[in-house]
Amino acid sequence: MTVPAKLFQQWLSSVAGTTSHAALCRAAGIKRSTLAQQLVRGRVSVATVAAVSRSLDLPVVASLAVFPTFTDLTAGMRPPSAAELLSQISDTDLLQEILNRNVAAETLSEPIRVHLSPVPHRSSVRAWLDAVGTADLRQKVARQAAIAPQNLSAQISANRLTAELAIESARIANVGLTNGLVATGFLSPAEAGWAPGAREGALWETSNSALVSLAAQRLDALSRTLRRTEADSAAARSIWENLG
Amino acid sequence: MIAALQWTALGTCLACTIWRVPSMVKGRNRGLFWVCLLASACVALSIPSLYLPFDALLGEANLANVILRFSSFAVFYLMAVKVAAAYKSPSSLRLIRGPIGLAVIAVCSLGILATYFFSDFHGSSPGLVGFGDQPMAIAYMWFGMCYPGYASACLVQPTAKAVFSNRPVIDRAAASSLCIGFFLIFLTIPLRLLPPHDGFIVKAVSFGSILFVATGFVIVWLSFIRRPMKGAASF
Repeated sequence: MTVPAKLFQQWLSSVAGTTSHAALCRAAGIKRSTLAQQLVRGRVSVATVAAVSRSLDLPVVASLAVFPTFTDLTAGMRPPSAAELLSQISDTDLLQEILNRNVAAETLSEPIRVHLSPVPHRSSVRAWLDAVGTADLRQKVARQAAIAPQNLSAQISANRLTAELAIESARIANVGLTNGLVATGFLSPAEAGWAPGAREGALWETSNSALVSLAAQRLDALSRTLRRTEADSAAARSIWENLG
Repeated sequence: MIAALQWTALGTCLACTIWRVPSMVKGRNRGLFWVCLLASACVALSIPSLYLPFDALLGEANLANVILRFSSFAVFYLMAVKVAAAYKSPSSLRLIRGPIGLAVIAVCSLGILATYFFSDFHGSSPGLVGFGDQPMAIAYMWFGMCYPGYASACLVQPTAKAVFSNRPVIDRAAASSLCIGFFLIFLTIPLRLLPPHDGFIVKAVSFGSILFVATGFVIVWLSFIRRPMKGAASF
């Protein structure tokens, strides 16, 4: 996912004035050679835009919206739904909440509040896609972006999704355009316009039954992933045992 | 060109043999050491400048060629069992270690012995090309090629399956190298049926196949060296 180098240069001069590239790169924590290469190739990655924008204390979404492919990003920002918020809570945090509620019910006390681990969690992309759309969402996204469905599945399995695909998915699912970028870890929840403590709030308001059924779905997905990795490592081990 | 390919194949096989020595001493997968050693012997005996002096020691009756054939049978049996087990293919394992596989190797061995003793192979000739017009020599050659071809054919499918799986790249690279090698070994049989018997293509394919298989083993060992340590399994 990239923006044209020419527009990037224009944006850079408008926000950073005459600051040298070296100073910008140092502040943004990106390699100077990386930026130079991106400028030479004529395409600057969105990660660079985000890093520079953060180093200058500018809102990342507004910075991205300067570029033609992202013009509707600011306007498309919408607060996340409860399902989206819950999707960005890790499996272990969900299970911990269930355990805490259980203990509270037995001891007739208030449940201990789980301290949620930061986003994104290990299967955040899959969880977000499942939360915003039905099973055919992935097919629609792949068709819209003109990529092979297995290419998209590979990204999801690796818990990755390009910014372009995350925004496209949000557009198709008719949710806030920046919400998918939180699931991919490209934006922090605050940068995407999520209220502080929104995940915690959504978690506390979820009923026991909904929470347990969500956890069951998550565990099901986890067991499938684990089965695959176990089969893969068993295959590799078999080769090493016989031919190593 | 062919000589270069032959010496490269020999060098690769010898390098693999030396590489297996530490594992051999430690008792890890000893079969592979013997596979490499016998494969080196086979390749060495296919090179005229090494075959002639060795056969001279054995009385210039081409007994060295019989040794070559039996070594190649041993190599292919041991290797096929290992590879089929490594790529978890019970059907291939059955085809090699089961009654059919044992029958094929037994028939080929008896055929080699019978054709050797019922014909007159006096005067060293690498690859028995000097006796190419004798029907017994032709039968001898076919028996010698049959088992390696059979064993290799059994291994094409399991390795090809690994190539098209979603394993890590290094594993698939190893599997594809092995798969190409086994397919080429198998391919030498139909190639021999084509008119020029001692043609350039047959030799290029058979020594090229050895290089592919050896490269596959080297890649497997590289991935073995780089394997994750115990306890790295993720939840």
